[in-house]
Amino acid sequence: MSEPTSEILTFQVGTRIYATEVYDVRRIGHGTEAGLTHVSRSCLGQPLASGRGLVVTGTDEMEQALDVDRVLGIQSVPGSSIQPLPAFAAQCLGSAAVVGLVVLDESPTPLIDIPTLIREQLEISAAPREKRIPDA
Amino acid sequence: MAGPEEPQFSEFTERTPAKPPAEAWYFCLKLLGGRYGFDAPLVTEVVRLGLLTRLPAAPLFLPGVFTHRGEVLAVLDINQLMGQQGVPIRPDTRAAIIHCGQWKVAVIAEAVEGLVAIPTRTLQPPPAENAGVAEFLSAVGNDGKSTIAILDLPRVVEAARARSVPA
Repeated sequence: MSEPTSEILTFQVGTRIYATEVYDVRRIGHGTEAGLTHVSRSCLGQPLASGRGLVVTGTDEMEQALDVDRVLGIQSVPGSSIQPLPAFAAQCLGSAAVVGLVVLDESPTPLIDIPTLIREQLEISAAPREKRIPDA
Repeated sequence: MAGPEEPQFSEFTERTPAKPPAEAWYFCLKLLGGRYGFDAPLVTEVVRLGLLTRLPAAPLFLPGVFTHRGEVLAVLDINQLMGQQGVPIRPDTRAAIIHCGQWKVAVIAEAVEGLVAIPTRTLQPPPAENAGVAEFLSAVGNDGKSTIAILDLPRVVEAARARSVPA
């Protein structure tokens, strides 16, 4: 019996690579696409150029986009490649959007829940300046 | 009729306190520019850091994670936790994998010495300071080469975790 697989979308922000579950992303748009709420700066860093936007559905059913430099592709990975964060790391991170790790080519890649990331970032942006937490 | 023979030796052994061992074994790392030891059984192995993956929204003392024998491990930089400059991360940087209760972390160090024996007669209470690393010391000893500060490592790890949890 074959092992269950997951569809993973990998993307790049700055020099770092991240992954997300494909089903979280409604479509891939342009970083400058009008009519969307764009989040450029987050704990993932800031894109060097607004190349692409990973468009997701926000809590109010409106489309929101996380701007990224590049979408690297979609790949099918065995379920065993997706691992939870080490318990200690899970306790220490300042964002609930880092939901695990995907081991790609023996290298752990952070697995990001993009709707949560956008929601957190919008909350931080809306908060009074003194309550903002610094970006990683 | 003679009573049961008195076990004289057992009385002696019961009333005499056990002689403390002449030396205690600690696992020694170079951290914060000095020598720090902690309970040796906490260490399961020493490894070279693999390719480190940085995690978003991680505190400075958690420089990343890496895979070791198929397991993803978090890295703890005690230098950063104590507000000092972090341990430089290079291909030859080594880490001691430790188990502290439910936490398993790889503690990176400027250098790994390994096991050292410290004569128990040299062990002294730590300095009465309540700041920085002094807060986490359980003793200070000397192995004949130089001073070794004994860290209460489980308390260090727990402090790191507690420091990260939002109030």
